[in-house]
Amino acid sequence: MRISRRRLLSGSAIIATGTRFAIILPVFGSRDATAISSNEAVDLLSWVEIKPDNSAVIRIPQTDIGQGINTTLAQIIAEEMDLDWARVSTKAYDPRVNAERQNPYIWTTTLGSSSAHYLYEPVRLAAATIKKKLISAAALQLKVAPEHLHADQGHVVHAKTGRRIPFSKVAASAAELQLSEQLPVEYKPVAQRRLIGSSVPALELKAMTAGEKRFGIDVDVPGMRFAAISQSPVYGAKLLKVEMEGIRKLSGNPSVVRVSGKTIGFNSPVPEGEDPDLWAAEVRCDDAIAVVADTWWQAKTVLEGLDITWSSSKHRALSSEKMFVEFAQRVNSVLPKSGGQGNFERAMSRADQKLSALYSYPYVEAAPLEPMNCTALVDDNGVQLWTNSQFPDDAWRIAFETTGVDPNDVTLHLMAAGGGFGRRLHNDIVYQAIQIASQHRGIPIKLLATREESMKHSYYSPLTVAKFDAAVGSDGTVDGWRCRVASSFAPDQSYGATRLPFVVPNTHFEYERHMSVPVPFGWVRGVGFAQHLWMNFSFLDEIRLAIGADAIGFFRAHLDPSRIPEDVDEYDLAVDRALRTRRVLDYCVEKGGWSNEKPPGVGRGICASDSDYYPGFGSSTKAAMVDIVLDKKRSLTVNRVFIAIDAGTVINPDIVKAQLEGGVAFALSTALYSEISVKNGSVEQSNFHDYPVLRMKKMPRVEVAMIPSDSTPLGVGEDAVPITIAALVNAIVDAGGPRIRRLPISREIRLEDS
Amino acid sequence: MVECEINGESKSVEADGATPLLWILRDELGLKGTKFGCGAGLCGACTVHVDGVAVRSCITPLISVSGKKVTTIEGIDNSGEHPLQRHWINSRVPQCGYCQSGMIMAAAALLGSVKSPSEAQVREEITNLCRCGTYNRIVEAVQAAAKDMSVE
Ligand code: FES
Ligand code: FES
Repeated sequence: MRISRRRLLSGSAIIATGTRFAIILPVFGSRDATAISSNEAVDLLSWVEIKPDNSAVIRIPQTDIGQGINTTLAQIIAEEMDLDWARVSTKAYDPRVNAERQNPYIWTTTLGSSSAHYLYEPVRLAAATIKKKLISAAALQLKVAPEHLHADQGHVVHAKTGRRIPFSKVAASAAELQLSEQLPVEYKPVAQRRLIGSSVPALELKAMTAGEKRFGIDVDVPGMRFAAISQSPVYGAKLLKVEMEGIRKLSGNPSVVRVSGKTIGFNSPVPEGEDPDLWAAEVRCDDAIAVVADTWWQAKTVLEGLDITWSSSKHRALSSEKMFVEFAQRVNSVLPKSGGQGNFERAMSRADQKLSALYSYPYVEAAPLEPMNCTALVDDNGVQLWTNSQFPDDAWRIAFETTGVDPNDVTLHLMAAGGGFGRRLHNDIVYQAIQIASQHRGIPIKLLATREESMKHSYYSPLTVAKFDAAVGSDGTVDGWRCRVASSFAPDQSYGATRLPFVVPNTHFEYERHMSVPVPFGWVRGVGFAQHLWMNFSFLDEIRLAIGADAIGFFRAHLDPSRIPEDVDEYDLAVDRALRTRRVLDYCVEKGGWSNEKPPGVGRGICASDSDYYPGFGSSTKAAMVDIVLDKKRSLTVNRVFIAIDAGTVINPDIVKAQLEGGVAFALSTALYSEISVKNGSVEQSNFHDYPVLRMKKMPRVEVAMIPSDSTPLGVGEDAVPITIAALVNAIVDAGGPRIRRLPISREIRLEDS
Repeated sequence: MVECEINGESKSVEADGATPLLWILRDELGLKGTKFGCGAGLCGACTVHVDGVAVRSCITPLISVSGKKVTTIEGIDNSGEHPLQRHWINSRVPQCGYCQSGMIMAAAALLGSVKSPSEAQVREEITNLCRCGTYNRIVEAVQAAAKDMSVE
């Protein structure tokens, strides 16, 4: 199949539809009818409840996975509403309410580091509208003109008389007010902000140090029993038989449940009428066997002792090493999908120098620290679910579709997650918990997967091999760039290879996805950019060294907008992108001290990029500078990572900094250690001894510089991952080490202990 | 039946002595601050103290704590204002928070044996995992707490 260039660049197709997820702003004006008032609390536009004691509860339509979303969204609302921050708390949204009220929460999937970007404007609008309603209601009550009133710390204030009316006293009448014709509302001027831009401590900080924060795994429902689960050991094998003899006699009153495997949906929302392949991957799970018992330890113990017969599977010889070899061959010839710009062949024919290299990236697992779990109750009232899914709307759908219960009778309690990193966008555990609970009607079932189960039956970023060819022109810049990519099962993630964050006039991309590979695809922090940016940047660095150019001068030359051909798609956005990237690179060079003297043995690398999957996506632009030491025994230590970032308006600088520190740690785990391998149809790794993650001892110093901005907030959660990996591999070469072309680095370099 | 002291209260626990302490704490006694991360002694999310020593409760059989004193995050300080907890807040350590009970318990045990550990010592001795990458803030908080505790 020959796909159009627009399609391959993944940009335009998505741009054209990206707005489907965007908000229709007037929705707030027409939602008044849904406001519910009671003696308890008054609901305003579904977003804020004002309680009789004048405290405020803010609804959060995102999953708390450690990114600080409860705090940042609450900051935005409290700012625009002039709430008293000390009296603000948060509560997770309910997918059923979201559906009933026609999506007042706008964007409910915790995906793509997009919450602040997608929700900033709508949340501000909601808050400003609510404030306007409260002031209008107070004006009616006081019989004064609304212009003479303002809001302050949870009160409407009449400046002339000094009267202060708590929001709670006017909330009920505000909820009744029809305000639509009075829109637009006014926003608070930047200079008057107290909360947006301030590093207020995360709302759950104290609870998190006292062991009091409750995660999905901590759900406690009266009468609850526990389940442990084991999926087919080989991809595609079916459950044939379980030996039940004697099970009843084991402790914990165990029962055995068969859980059938199937494709349960997608791992992210697909806009109506769109090709799902551009947006998502199917979430599949294999047959499984579960044991329910009085305690989880009993359930797990019985499960481990079961005599289970699985069918043979056509995937029983599947091997990631063989896949690697096959993919490495595939990329030597023409691949089915292609695109690019200019004329690569012509650039090759006039090249001064030609270079070629083969790179690869293994399967990687997100491995959040809290193992996968979900609690479900199926009874005559319907279904109740307790989950920390990153895709709760779909978890809710799975509950009613699997059970046949009326959607209105499914209640989802969204819990906090001990990390997510994309893993919890896959609702396999929800589907399994519902199946088990359906076979135990009336009994709440907490399904908890072991670490081994969570790791072996996860959703991985795909094994990928890329072959690069470059033509260097007589001016010492890259004139032609070709990249051929072969990968395991994945959605149309071509952006990873094709969204070069630097300018090459003639490009040609080809790729092939091996869709029959049964290893499931998963979104993992940093996604396609985590996989491809380091390859792109490392190969660019190879070219630089081959011609002996200075790093910064060379990278800057490839961010010169005058080299962008005028006939490229989205030309203006491309120019803007190059200028932004160059600005952030310069900022990093200056603030990070690129030219400062390096102690002997230190290697330094740098990389600047955005993570825009398509032009105008809304990720931040950032740069990383990494200092490493490679000692004589070739043992690697990462000393310092400096990050410069243009993240638009920063709502909470300390939370942004924490996200970037966390991104650095994730990048180093990925680059240094992470590899999931498949042998004989099964994942080989099972726990943190054979799938190590970074420990405290290996964590470098991290410094962050944010470029001041008051434009719309941009993503930060995943953003340190790709640039850190890229700068790291170049730093290794700078220190006299090998050119890393295949991750993880532990394949080539000693890391002492991990 | 196993008798032990948990957070200062004597308890008799009716369970198979081979059951890991972690599950007794979480599912029998409702002390959910102690977390499950790996079940194999690799991550430290389940760290508690047994007679003042940090242990990984996921691989500690209930029977082995018979007659001993177990302390969990819930019992580390009655006021919730242990210097480590205060500095955890000052340094804004937690992201998701999942590993933090275990981190604080590991840090408390470390400060029990080394009064003012160097940065390198903290990094070497605390081998718990934090997938969110809060390590540098942990080092900062531990050292600040150590300073406070030596003054007190
Ligand atoms: S759960 Fe005990 S060490 Fe990981
Ligand atoms: S804060 Fe999330 S695992 Fe440490």
